[in-house]
Amino acid sequence: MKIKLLMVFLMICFSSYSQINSSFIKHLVLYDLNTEHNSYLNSFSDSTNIDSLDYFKLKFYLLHNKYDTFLDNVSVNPDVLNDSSLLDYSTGHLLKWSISKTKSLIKIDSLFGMNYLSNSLIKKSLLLVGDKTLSADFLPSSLRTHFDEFEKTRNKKAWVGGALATLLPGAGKLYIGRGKSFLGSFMVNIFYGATAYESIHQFGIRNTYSILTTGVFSAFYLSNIYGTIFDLKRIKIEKKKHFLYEVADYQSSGVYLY
Amino acid sequence: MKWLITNLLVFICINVLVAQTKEVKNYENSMLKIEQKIFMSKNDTLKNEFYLKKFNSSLREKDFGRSYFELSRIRGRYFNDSIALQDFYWNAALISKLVNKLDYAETYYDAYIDLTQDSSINSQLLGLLINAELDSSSYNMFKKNLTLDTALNCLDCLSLIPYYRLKNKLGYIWASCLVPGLGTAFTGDVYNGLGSVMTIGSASYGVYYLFLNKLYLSTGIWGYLFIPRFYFGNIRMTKYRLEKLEEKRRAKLAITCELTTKKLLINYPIDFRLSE
Repeated sequence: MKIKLLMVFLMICFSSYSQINSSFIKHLVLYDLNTEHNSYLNSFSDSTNIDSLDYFKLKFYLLHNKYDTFLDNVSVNPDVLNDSSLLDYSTGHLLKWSISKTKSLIKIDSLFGMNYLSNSLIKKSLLLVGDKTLSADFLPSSLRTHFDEFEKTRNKKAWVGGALATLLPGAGKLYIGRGKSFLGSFMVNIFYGATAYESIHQFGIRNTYSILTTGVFSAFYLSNIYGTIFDLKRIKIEKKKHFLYEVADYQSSGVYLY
Repeated sequence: MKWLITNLLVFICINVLVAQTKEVKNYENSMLKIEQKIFMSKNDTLKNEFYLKKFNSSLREKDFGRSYFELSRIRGRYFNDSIALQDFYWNAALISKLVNKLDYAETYYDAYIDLTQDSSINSQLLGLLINAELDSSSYNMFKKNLTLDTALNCLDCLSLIPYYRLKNKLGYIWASCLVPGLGTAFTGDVYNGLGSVMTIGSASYGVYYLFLNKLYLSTGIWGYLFIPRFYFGNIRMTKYRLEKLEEKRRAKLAITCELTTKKLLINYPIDFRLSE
């Protein structure tokens, strides 16, 4: 009976001191053995006292783009925030996925970690796109061109675009940088304007055909103005996302998870 | 009594579920253990044995996606046992066929035939199933080189499916050019055909009416904006409907052929060869 008890005790001790083999995990990652990787991490029960288990699980979530799970778990295991390369990798990949989630990670790092991300390129870039007064001198030259492109669009005013579209249909598109749309917008408005003019000239404004052509012309004319304003908003978001994507790419290039 | 029966049923159900979960877990654990052995072993032949073990385990569990993945890790040159190699080539050909990697299936099948010279009806059937989907020339070449069992002749339909084409396609398009909507109606889409006739007819009449009222600018503009768009749009729609019709007929042919193949496979089943 005593021997049996001793054996059980030894087994418990042995299992609680089992260690994760990091080179085996690298082997699983190298050969893309995702199921085995998952099974291996799950083979260690949560009650097992292994410090690195959570760390490897977090890496696993990142590897498989399970960013929500990663964020949910990272605040519970703040020790992970001591790994600067993991933080560089995760912010770089998170930013490509969601701006708000990246901000959450930066916040988690400032609250529970060593505030490593406070001085990072990504945090500075996030501040830069939100504040026009900040200088972009910290950006490397390869990112500078993307930022200049974004800034050019950011400085454009929606009311200027709208006013130009009102004065000359298509001019608003030219102003917001959609040069190819200019001719299309201009010609369509000229065509419908001409039919409206001709019908009013021939039958007067109260004629059904005149009302129809004037209605069609008005719809196209107004939608051209609305489209210019709406398009500018979209382009601004697009350019911002593009710039931040490039920053994320720059940040995560050469940083490996394993 | 009722209470006892209900509890018994619940107990059985829970046990079945637990058993199933355990089974999946056991399979995953065994795959992990083999992978650990692969990681630890330094010898290529030994590694290859473990790869084969993983491959066979996944076949037993019908985890075919994984089987195909494990297949890519196995090397024929590390086999010591020729029977095991034969079985491996057979399984590899079959699994590659199942996951639709026909080039690999052909390579493994050829390796199997080179090694065994197997001329059994099952082997011929597998060869035909692989070659039929490659291209018609390789299918015919394969047929020429073998003295085929007559039961397998019905499989010719397999090689014909990819080459099925609708006859007189140009005729449908010409019909749409002459009378807008006619070609579309001929493809079986009568409603869209009628819609096209009515749209183009009313648009043309409207433009003509504008001309009669001396609205020459409007005639030009509306005519330019609507008539070519509707006319050529209908021709494009006819082409699209033709493609759909061709796909439909090809699918019908494929279903008939599949039924024939299924009947044949019931008579001459092709199974994995798992000797362990």
